[in-house]
Amino acid sequence: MIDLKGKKIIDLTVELIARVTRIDGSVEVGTTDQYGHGWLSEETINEQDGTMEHLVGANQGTVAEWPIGALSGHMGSHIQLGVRHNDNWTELPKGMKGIWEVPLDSYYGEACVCNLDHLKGESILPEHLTSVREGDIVILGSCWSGEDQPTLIGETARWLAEEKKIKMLAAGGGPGINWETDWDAPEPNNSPTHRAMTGNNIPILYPLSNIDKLSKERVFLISLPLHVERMEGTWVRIIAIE
Amino acid sequence: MFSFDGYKAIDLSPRVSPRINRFDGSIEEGATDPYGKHWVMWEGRFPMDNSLFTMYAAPNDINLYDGRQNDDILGQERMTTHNGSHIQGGKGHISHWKGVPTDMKGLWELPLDTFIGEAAVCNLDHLKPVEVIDQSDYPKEYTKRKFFQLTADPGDMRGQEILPDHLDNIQKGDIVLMTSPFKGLEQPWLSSRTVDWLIKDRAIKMIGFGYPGIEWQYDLKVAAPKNSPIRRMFLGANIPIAHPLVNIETLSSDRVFYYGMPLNVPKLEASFVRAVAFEPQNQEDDA
Repeated sequence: MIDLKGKKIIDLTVELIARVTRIDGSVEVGTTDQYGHGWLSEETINEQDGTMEHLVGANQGTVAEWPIGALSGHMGSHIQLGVRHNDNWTELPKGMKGIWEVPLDSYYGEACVCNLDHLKGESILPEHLTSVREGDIVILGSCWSGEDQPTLIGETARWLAEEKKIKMLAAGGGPGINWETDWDAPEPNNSPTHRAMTGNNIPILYPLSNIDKLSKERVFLISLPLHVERMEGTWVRIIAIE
Repeated sequence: MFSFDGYKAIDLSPRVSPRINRFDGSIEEGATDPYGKHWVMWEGRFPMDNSLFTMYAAPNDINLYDGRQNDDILGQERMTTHNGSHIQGGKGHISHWKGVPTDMKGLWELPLDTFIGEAAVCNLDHLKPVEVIDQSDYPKEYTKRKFFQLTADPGDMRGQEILPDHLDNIQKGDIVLMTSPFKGLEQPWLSSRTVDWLIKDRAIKMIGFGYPGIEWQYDLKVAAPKNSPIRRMFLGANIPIAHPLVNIETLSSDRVFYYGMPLNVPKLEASFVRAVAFEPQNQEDDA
């Protein structure tokens, strides 16, 4: 039986502290993700057994900083594929799948760790990713934030998807990389990374943290989506084993 | 390199089929989870890049971008972290109960290796229901014909108490996956003395229950500190509980590698979870 002896588990998930409205009405402030979204929870008593449970989200208009109240599956560290996410765009290939339609082993495997600290504000090119092997999960990170982040340009995204046939793209965020360009360009020239990955049924995992804590160039990564059909993106827990 | 090569992944999380209110106004019906809970979502459109996304726990009459909203089901029932397969810890969940340990932890305070590792598979299909001879000791008897008749009649079938002898494949420090093919009052049941053995003698680190299969949620309305003894004991010992799980009965090995991490959201008393068992494809080679 496989075991974890001698192995180290590194949490690559961005921590998102819940904003909790307690049963007494008090509010504990949480944190927000890279998009400024917070995890809203509201305590309630389960009348069947007197346990406390968290209602997810909030009623509309009750939380000033997020009046929508509901939570998107694209919040915090999450995973996405194309069906029901960007398959409404023109000129995407046929045969795109949803995250609930691909095998479980799509979400774990050997990963190549690409720390791109040396690319401050530059484009990420294939020559910067020479350690990537065909079929890898690819983890891209850097120490840079904002405009200083290296950018995964469309040409490189297509190279990863079509030539290296990577299994999953895992992008660090805040600090990390900018993995999308031209998101507001007219179709079909918009969002080339989304198109390259979801068009080839390669899940996108974003954002990751702690990439800088990985000491090996190759690790084992696991990131399983929730088992919810027709949900285009789900929250995930991402771990690396090295 | 750690690897699952040579192992087959078996999904232990029931597939959730959500009710989705689509952006075009159509509604795709879903199905409830094993406990009968709905998972309801709204679709919205992100105007910045024209991508679509869904929202969980959208209350009635929200107005998200151009999404269509108005859902009678969701308007009646807010959803919690206990929908679908989920994992729960003690802090924030039962920490308001009298008599729970003060050092009880939340899911977010437990080490990551609590949720991953070797698991003992306990499919108790051999614990067939037995006939009540005199008086039933089943922990979850319901009122029968008259309100004062709280116990079963002789001849009624009831589930058996699960004893340590039935769990002899559990090793110290294991994760435990437990189920049976029985339902309702015919499910085998976990007693306090057996849970005490699991905690003190076997030092298990996590437990997952199939549903239906095992009766472990009883005495829910008894006055604290005697209420919900099994939940109280496990969570009080910082042993998280994952449920409802499926497919445990399909595992052909009595030992598997389990993976089922909670989300990284501190303060959540429970978390949705994707639970998977990895079982050796060639068990002779693995022996």
